[in-house]
Amino acid sequence: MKKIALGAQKQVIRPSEIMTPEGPVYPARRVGNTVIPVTPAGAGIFAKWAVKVVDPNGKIVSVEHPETGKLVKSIEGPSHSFNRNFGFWIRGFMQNLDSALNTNETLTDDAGASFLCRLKYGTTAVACVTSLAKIKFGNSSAALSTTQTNLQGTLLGPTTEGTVVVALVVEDTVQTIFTVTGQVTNGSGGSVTVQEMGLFPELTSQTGTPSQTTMMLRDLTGAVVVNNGQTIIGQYTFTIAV
Amino acid sequence: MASKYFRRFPGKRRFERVSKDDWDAPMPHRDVAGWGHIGVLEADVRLWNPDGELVLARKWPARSYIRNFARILRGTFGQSNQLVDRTGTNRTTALNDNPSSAIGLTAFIYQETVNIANIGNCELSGVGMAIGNGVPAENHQRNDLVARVGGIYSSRQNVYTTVLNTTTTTLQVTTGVTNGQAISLDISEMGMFLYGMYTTAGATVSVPFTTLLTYDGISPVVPVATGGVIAPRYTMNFPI
Repeated sequence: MKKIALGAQKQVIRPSEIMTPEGPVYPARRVGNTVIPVTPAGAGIFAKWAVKVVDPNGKIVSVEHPETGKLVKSIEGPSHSFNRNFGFWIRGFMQNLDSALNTNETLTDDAGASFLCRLKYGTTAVACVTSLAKIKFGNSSAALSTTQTNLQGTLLGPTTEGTVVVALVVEDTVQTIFTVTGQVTNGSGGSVTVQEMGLFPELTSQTGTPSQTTMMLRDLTGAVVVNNGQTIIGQYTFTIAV
Repeated sequence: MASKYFRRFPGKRRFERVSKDDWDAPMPHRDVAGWGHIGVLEADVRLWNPDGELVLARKWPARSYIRNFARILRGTFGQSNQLVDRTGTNRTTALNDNPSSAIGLTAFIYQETVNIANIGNCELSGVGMAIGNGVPAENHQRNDLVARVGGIYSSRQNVYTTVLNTTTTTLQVTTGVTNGQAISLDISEMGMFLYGMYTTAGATVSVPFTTLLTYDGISPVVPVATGGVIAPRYTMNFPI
């Protein structure tokens, strides 16, 4: 047997990975009955978005892919899009939000109103807690910016936001993958070309005002036509791995 | 004089000696296998000898956020779940529950203070950093360092917002730890913790806990001489 002297680098226990020019990835694998696709390894949070359109009977409608022009059942792409609200939200967890010192995080809701986000619950009646997040779709292809606090175009409606469902795909020694899915039906009476989608957790402000709909992600989907009566389903998939 | 700054870039296995400007530059981010890199996490350590001279600065792509961070994300988007403290015990932190509800557990991370009725212990709140000298084992379900050296050092005052513009938001968390022992220590791991509290429905006392958010092995190890100072740091970048 060949003797190998293990240095510190060799002692690090990691699952097998493949180094690509883009960065390390884990190959596709199976966890129980779930097939996990190729996913990035380490270096933070990765995400992708996907949209598909269904008719009033729930049947998937083929849509033209905005880049290839082919008819496809769903469109997906890499997400690029935590905005400033998300950064402040995470900063809120990491700092001591001290009401006595008035250092609560200031977030901005989808109406452009600033509010103090008090990450606290206990003996006081007010708290900044999440409720169910919302998903929205709009028709603007305006470039992404961290300072945006709502979608930039006209929202698909007339009910312009849908409650999302969070589903855990896997949580093991390698990674967490979870999806966030929601849908909105076009009841405008005409067709709408969706260009953007976003996720909006609902928060309660320091003053106790509930349901401050607060955008934390916005992504560009390319042109996706949704006819009257059809429903667009959007999904974000997040992966965080060692 | 040779640079003391070393950096490992994404997709590379080895550290490169770089200039300080290149060391300070944000980590390049790119899509990997069709996934967008929306939360960039980078780790670094800096080491000073007892007279204050910088001895070493090493930076690398972190590996990575632990399941607890992912659970905070899931909670943010509306899924009730629990954080796991450093002893492996689930702590109820139902981010999406109505705190006035009497149904089930209505806990939330209590960010203000460990002493619930006052603000007299603010040091033990927010985020904390820790270092260790165990054999690194990077596991997404890790709850604590393998062999922590010292305590979990609060870094509440050391959360920096370094970049804030239309294309990114960057946060940094760091702290400095002095080796007060009579022997040199080989630091081989680092981690970032969150101090939290949870409360069950109707309870009058909240229970403090710490939960691991990030963990990284440090390889090769960093020897810290008696009186030397090591500063582990995490940089979180949320680029568009």
